[in-house]
Amino acid sequence: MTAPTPQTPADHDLVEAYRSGDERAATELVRRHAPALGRYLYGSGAMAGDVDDLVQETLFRAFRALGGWRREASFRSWLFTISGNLLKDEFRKRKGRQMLPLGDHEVADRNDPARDYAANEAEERVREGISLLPRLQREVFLLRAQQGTEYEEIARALGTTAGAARVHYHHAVKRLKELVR
Amino acid sequence: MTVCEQLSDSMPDIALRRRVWSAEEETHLTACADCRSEWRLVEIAAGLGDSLPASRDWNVVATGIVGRVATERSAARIRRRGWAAAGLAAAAVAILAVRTARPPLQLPVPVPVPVATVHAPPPVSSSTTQSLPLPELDGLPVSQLESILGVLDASPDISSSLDGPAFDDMDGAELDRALAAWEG
Repeated sequence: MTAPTPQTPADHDLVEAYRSGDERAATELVRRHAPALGRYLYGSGAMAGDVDDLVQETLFRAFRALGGWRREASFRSWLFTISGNLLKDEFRKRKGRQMLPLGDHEVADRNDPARDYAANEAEERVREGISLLPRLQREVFLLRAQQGTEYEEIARALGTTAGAARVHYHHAVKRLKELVR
Repeated sequence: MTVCEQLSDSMPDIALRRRVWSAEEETHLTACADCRSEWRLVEIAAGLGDSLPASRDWNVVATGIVGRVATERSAARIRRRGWAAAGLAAAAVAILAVRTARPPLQLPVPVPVPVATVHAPPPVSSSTTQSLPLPELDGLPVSQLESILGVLDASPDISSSLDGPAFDDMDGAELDRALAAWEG
């Protein structure tokens, strides 16, 4: 996450600037958070080809409802919460929780294709495993393991306690690490 | 907190390259298969999505989103105005309906008078006129009402036929009959 410095205004300043009509502030918010949002959505089970649309839809929903950001959690965590709701809607639309087909991931053309293939296979197993977790476990796990968010911040974003978030994380780890042994 | 738990807490930061393993942690990791499998998992999770195409033109994306929000807001404003206009129209219709449901303006109503006084009717107070309930006449246009008055004035026979019970004492059927007689 981008820490505010004199050169980089804080998210809430950008939000206020956008609400006052400064569209450059919106561009900065998008540039700052969209890549992490895309990774989060992909990690949550979105297909690679859907990620861009989902990122844009999440950001649209966020900008439309900026008044709903209470600053209890960071702007990014709030975006992740919105994207979680969006994914839930998508899962429901598709009549199932799983969105990613195995093999959705492109195999990178590197020097050791066999190793890359094994790595990609493990990644797909983990991604599938994550997508099958209960929602709270999935969100806590990704916020912690993929985004490096502290438990206190996770708790604020997801409306739980830091202790409960830690428990959810360890439950998720217990279930998922069997997939990478 | 056990060493495994300490390592577990450190793993996301190390996977995201915010810090590195200490010598002690590395030693434990080498010896503990459970921590190694968790580390492998966290490494993979931290890298999820790294292979997604990164070169997006965020200016274009942001412009699209801001434009979409603006469009939706103006559409919502128009919708709100539409609802307000519809509400006003509905209120106007309701007021109109209430007004038209009220008894219409009290038009002059033929007053039953005794035959002897038909040709020289005594002055009738307006309050007497207004107190006569003849709802059957309410729906008639002015021209018809005037023609009824004309017939009454010109036909002492009909007028005399009215010389009987007061309209107040008639029931609906009797009034209907009287009206039918006037209208021929």
